[in-house]
Amino acid sequence: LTLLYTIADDDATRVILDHPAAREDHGGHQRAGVNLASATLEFLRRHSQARPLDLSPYPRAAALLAAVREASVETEESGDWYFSVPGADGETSRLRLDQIPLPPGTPPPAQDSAPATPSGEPDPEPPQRPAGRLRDAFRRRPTPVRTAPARAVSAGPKLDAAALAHGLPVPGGVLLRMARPGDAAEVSRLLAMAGLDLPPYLAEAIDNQDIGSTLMHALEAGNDQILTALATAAHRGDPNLAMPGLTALLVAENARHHACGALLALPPAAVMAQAASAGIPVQFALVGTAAIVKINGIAVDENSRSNGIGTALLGTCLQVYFQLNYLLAYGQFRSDSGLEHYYRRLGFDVLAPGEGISLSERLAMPIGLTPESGERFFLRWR
Amino acid sequence: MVTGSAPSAQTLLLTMVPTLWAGILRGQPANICVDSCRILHCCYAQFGIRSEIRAVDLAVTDDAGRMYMHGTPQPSWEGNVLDGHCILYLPDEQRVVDATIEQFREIARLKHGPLVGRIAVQLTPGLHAAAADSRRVLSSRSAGPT
Repeated sequence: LTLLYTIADDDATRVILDHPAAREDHGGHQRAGVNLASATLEFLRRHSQARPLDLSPYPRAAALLAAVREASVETEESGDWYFSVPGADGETSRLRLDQIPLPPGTPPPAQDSAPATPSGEPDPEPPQRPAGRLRDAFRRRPTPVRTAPARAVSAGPKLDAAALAHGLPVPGGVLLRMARPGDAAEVSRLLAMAGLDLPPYLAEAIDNQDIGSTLMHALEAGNDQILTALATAAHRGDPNLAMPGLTALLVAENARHHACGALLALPPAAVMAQAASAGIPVQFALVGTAAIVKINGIAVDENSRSNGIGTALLGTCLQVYFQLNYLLAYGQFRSDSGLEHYYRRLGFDVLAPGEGISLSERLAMPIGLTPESGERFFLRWR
Repeated sequence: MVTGSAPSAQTLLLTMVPTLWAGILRGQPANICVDSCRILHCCYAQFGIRSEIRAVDLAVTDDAGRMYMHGTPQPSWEGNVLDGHCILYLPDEQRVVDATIEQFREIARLKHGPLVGRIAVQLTPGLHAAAADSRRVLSSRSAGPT
């Protein structure tokens, strides 16, 4: 599941916070917040009895926990929480959390900072009137904490980033790996066999180890690395900065350590461009960029063909992207090349010449991909 | 990344607040994000943790590629009913908290509870950020002037 939040500006936030409906119950919010803090503290206290808690980053929370460690706690019908705290004189006081005396030097409660609260002074005293719905919400004791289910593990062996960097063995003593510095000339030679020029920015990305870097991080640490890279690039004003890191340039290296095959797969520029011209919000377009990969070209040296290298390159490419939750991998070839049988044999759908790919149903993007004249698409959905 | 180790005390504190609140909220009206943010803001303040409420809009994409939109960059009120959504931003923790995310059906059915996500950069107008918790992926972009 992917969640994309757009944080509105301060004016939009003030539209929410300055409305009378949001302002009228400030005292109730304060009171409910103190009660929620009390419930949290009670949970932490019980938890700390089984396992010590280091709350040193939050000295006020640590002081509160220490103050109530031996206290009894009760919840009134109103929903308010009270702690019976022993004082220095030995007398026990029944106090709300925000009334408990703390050692000198304990930080005060965090101060409000705009636009967190509406204008106006916070209530210095506990509210005198019931907090309506919020009071009702606190009549019940907190529901027991639920444990999050473990993330599902996809079936089949997972591709390992370190192995992909070092090289995955395929028959014939060949290793498949991500391109590394020094590969640019050989990769360029191989891709030229498929009629492709290696763009200078990708040649540079090979040499500075940027090529596929985001994919490798994501294989290692989770596919949220992809969104992080896209959002960071967008923040720097150019989503294209993320593209080399999302590009897979796979190299087949023979036993003599010579490159004998290469595959280039990259985020489809057409999707971002079409999304922009269709007025699709940038966050949708970014999701598309993290969901679709175009297999731009694949080439194997003539004397290395018929050894399954091309198949292994394609299979590894699909494994990389589909493991990272990409939804669609596609490419195109000349209609008169006869390659449709090859791609069908590898499990791709091959579209009729000129037939496009709609992204509206699976990606909810009202755009489509159209092959160039004389070309046809091959594709596979995850 | 899910690990087998116990959560840190920091993580426990930050996540327990919205988790307890979500438990309390169960069965309450859906349109309660403003109240929830205000209450969590006051709650975190008691522990000395600063927070800010932020209006957001939210695009959810499920594993099948279906996309759902919630909230709006231009929130408005119809009487006492908000057309919009808001979350809590913890600037010192570099986290966002969406305690009422389960009001959205496609998320509620996952039964993952509220969202506490870590973000990559400060959320100020014009900045983009990304975040993740152990169960979901989250990316944020700040609207407004750059």
